[in-house]
Amino acid sequence: MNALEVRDLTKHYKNFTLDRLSFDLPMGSVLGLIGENGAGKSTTLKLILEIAKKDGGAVSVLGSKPGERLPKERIGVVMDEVGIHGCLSARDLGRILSGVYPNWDRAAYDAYLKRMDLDPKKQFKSYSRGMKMKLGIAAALSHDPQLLILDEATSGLDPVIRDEVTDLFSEFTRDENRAVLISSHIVSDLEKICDYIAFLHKGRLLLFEEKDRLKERCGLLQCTAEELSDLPAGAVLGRKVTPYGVQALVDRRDVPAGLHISPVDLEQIFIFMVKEAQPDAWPAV
Amino acid sequence: MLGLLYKDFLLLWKQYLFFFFTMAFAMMVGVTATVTNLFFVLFPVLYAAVLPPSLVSMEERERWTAFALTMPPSRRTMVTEKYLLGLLLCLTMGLLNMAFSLVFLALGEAVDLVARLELTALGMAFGLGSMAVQFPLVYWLGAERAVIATSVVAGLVCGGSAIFSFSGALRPQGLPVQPLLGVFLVVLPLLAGSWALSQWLFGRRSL
Repeated sequence: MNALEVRDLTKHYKNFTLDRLSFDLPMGSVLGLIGENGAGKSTTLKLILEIAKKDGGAVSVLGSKPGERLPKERIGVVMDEVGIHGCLSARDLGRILSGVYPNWDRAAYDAYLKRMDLDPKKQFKSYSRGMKMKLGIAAALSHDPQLLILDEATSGLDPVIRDEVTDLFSEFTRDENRAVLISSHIVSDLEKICDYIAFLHKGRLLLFEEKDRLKERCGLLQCTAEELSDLPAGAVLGRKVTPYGVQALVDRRDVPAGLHISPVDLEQIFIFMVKEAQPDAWPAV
Repeated sequence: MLGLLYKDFLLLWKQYLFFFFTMAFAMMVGVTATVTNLFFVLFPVLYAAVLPPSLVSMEERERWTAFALTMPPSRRTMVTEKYLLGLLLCLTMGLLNMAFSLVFLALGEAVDLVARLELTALGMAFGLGSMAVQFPLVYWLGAERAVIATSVVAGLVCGGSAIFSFSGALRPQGLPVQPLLGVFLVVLPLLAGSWALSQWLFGRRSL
């Protein structure tokens, strides 16, 4: 079963269009939505959650049918800015949310606050950004959601807190009946926890693939311009001219044996896709 | 709905504590009101009606609205809760007004309860009317763009009633009951229409 099914999701703004996005998020997995600032990541999440109104397409969350009410009691959300009033404390928030979520687990919330070292009496406005995010995450996890949607939840956090937070997300998906959709432009975080990767660029989905398959498929080739031109069409996904020759992102399947191809990480793939992509190498999915 | 109402009362308590003191002061002054300071009888109810639209604006500025939209209550419920809050606040202020009057009456002051009731009812009608105008503006334009429009409405209602009261046009006795009923007959359907309009406007908005 898919936790999330998105079909032809479209939204038009004056200077930006999210163009017919389609992807699935299987249960028990983590999907990372990667893209530069302004690529449409937050818009996509807002459309899925119905915070913004879509112009076209369909979204099914945890088996909901198009037009049906979203099962929000089974969804945990952390937005890039946690919208809690500055004068409220973590304790106040817990009391409020216990009246909002029918499945609110007060003991779990208290345990998360303790684990994340958050003072329940302290006002939200006196929290650091990291603490605010951690409170948002504690609130999102305390009603036993099946789907966690996180928008830039690790941005602006120091490495130690980011590590703690990504551990929490990994822990969350140990249960096969749960799934996470996380957007970020910090690719290294997503590389650690994601099973699937969706690359979004200027409102278009350029790639949707299993992370391991993608990393297996792609590689970095350091060569001369002549050597590169000998490669079959379609093998080169992106190229960058350096003082030492040409660095190319290649599809290993199309590269003849004998050439030394180095492994590539997601960040390098992402940069090649956005900056050095070959024409038509990444048609929209 | 209960969680949202609890949040709003908590926020009022924490953010608008001065509001409660102002109200208590206005009510005490209002009880001993003469022809020239009847404004203090109207003021608590009018102010109570201005608060919920201000809360909606504050929620949007502090991104609570987007956060709340990730929760189970629907957009309809969110709008309804704010109207309910407005009604509850107006009603509470009205009841407190009358309670203060009763206390002062018991203390031997010359308080005309019927006149106070009529004035309180008039204040409630004006307050609910202003709420009926302000809410759709906030839900339609958003906090940033609605701030001027809602301030104008609130200013008109509060300022208008102040001028009306201090000019002596409003007298503590002899307020005819029938026009008062007429005001309510206009205001309540207006409020119901405003509620439906706000739901429609907020239902279409992208945040």
